[in-house]
Formats: sequence, structure tokens, C-alpha cells
Amino acid sequence: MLRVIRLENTGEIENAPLMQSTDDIERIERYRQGDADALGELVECYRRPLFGFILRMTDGHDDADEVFQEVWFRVIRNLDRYRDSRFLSWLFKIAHNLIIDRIRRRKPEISMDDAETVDRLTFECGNQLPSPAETLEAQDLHQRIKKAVGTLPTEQREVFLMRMEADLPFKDIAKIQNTSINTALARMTYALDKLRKVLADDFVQLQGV
Amino acid sequence: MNRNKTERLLLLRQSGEITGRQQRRLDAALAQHPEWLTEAPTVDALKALWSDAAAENTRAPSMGVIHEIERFAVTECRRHTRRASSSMLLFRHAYLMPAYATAAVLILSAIVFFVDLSPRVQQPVYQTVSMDATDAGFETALQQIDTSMLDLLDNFATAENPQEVKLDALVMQLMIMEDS
Repeated sequence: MLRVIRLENTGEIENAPLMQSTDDIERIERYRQGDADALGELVECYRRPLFGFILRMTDGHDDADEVFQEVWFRVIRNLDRYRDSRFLSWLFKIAHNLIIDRIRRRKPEISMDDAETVDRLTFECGNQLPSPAETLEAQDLHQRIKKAVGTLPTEQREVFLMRMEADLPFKDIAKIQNTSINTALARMTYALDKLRKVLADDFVQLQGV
Repeated sequence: MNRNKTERLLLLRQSGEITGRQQRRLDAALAQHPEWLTEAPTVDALKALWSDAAAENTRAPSMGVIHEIERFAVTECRRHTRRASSSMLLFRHAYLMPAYATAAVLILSAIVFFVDLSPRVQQPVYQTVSMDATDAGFETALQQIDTSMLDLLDNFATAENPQEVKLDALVMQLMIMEDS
């Protein structure tokens, strides 16, 4: 049985810190040499940020499970080709590609760089914002944040989640989205701007933190 | 610098990617508009709040998925190890290739050496005989050549490249006599 199960049984699972790249490389090397536990350690280490990202980018838990599994299958199959210095960025790149494929299969291709589309989606997002009644019904601030993030356009939500979940640098995010660092920064700015509007009162509190 | 650019620089600073030059530009912009800093989204606080919100049980992938990944990892790992072993075996043989090649060259050399010793390619053996200018003396000289030498001379005369065979005057005369 892989290490991931042992970690879960010992309660270490929630506190597993994000590893440095050197640890990733060492574990990848161990796996290449026949130590299957090393892959379990990698899965465990990046389970939370990766699954958190996938969950917020897909339609529910089952969908997220499927994408999460496929990401790791692809990682395992292509581990020999891994050359990136940052393993987490590679994981997110694979996840991004899978999610984009799913979105494209569901609806016609859209680009957030198209100003018209941005306007349309911003308008739609505005309409999807929770009403005051819904806001009152929300259990707490966490729920409101999650709901607000769910209303963001795909690319903006993606940038926001990559920053929030995995603390990926904008340089890596830009590479993952196959765009410029300025576009990635702009998407983050738009996302924060929208969240600020949606969570108006909460943001006042946040700024006092 | 406008507000949008300032906010982007703030994001870069927050992510630790800001360069010295960008930092100076940001400082200059914030010195002019200090309110931009306080009004900007508090990313760090939002991040802390997000992490807090994210710490819920439903964020974990199902155990079935984890088991499936484990199973696949073990299978692929074994396959990879087997492939690596095969490669190593091939590498070991490749390492001995120079030795194999040397042995093959030695064997071939030995074969060529023994073939070189065969009578077909052996150098002609000359036998010196005394002879007179008269026919009688020539006959006497012929009688002194032993039978094996005559066979050998005959072989050279029927060789594929007789012009390459160097024969002395005695042999040439013998051939002329046989033809006539």
C-alpha cells in the first residue's frame, strides 16, 4: 500500500506541508527507480491544492474526482518527460488542459481576451451574483466567498484559484494559461475587483485584518 | 502610472516576483496616491480567509480515486522497472561490444592467416638448375626438376591471372614446349 494511506491513518495528512522542488525531484527519482511509495507521497503532498483547484473549476465532486485521477494518470505516464523545475506548476498545467477540454466539450469556445465576451460574461456574472436574500441565507463568510468565486469567468477564476490554492507565481500562471504575465495579472485584478464588489462589506472587514 | 498598473505591481509584490525597477515605480506611484494601497484588494487577508474556507472535508478526493491512482502507480512502476532492467541488460552487453568485436576480428585474422598458407596462393618455389645453351643440356636440366615442381609449374600456367605469375626463363620454355 502506498504512503498516502499510512499518512491518513496517522493523521499527518492534513498537516503535510508543500514540498520544495528538490524533494519533488528526489521523490520522482525514487519512483523511477521502483519505489511506488514515492508517488504516493507526491499525491498526498499536492492533494489539497490540486483538488481544491479542480473542485472549484469543475461541476461537482464526481467531476473533480475524475479530473484529479486523470491528472495523476498523466503524471505517472509522463514522469520520464518531466523536466520542469516546479512540479506543482506542471500538475496545474495538466489540470488546466483537462479542464479546458471539458469546458470546450460542453460549450463553444470562448476567449476571455475578447472584450465583447468579457463584457457579456461580466454582465452574466452580475446577474448571477447572490441576491441580498441569498446572501443572508449564506451560512458564513466562507460560503459567500466560495459562491462569489464560482461566479467569476473561467480564466479569472483559474488565476484566482492558482494564487489562492497553490500560491503559484504569476509567471507560471501565465505559462499555464499560455498567455502573457500582464494578462494573468489583469485577470487577477478583474477577479479581485469583482469579488470586492460582491463581498463589499466583507472586504471592508478584510482590509481591517 | 495609472491605478490599474499600480494594482498589478502590488500583486507582483505580493507574489514575490517584483523587480527592483518595478518596486521603485510602485513606491513612486504610492507616494503620489497613498489611498491606492488601502483601497487595493487585501490579497493576503483574502488568501488566509480562503484557506480557512477551503479547510473542509468535501475538498478531499474520494478514497476510490486515491486507490485507483495507487494501483496505477504500482503497475506503471513495475513496468518501468522491468523496462529499466531490460535496458540495463542491453547496456551491459553494449559495454562488452568492444570485446566481442575484438574477438571477431581475431578469429577472422586467424582464418585469413590459414587461408594464406594454402598452396593456391603460395608463392612459387624456384629451383635453380644449371643448363647449357644446347638442346641436350636443356633436356638434362629438365630431368633435374622434380615431379612436384613440374606440378606446381603446371598450376601456375593454368592460374586465372598467369600474367601475375613470375616465371623464369626455364618455366617459360617449359610452357612453350608443352603447347607445341
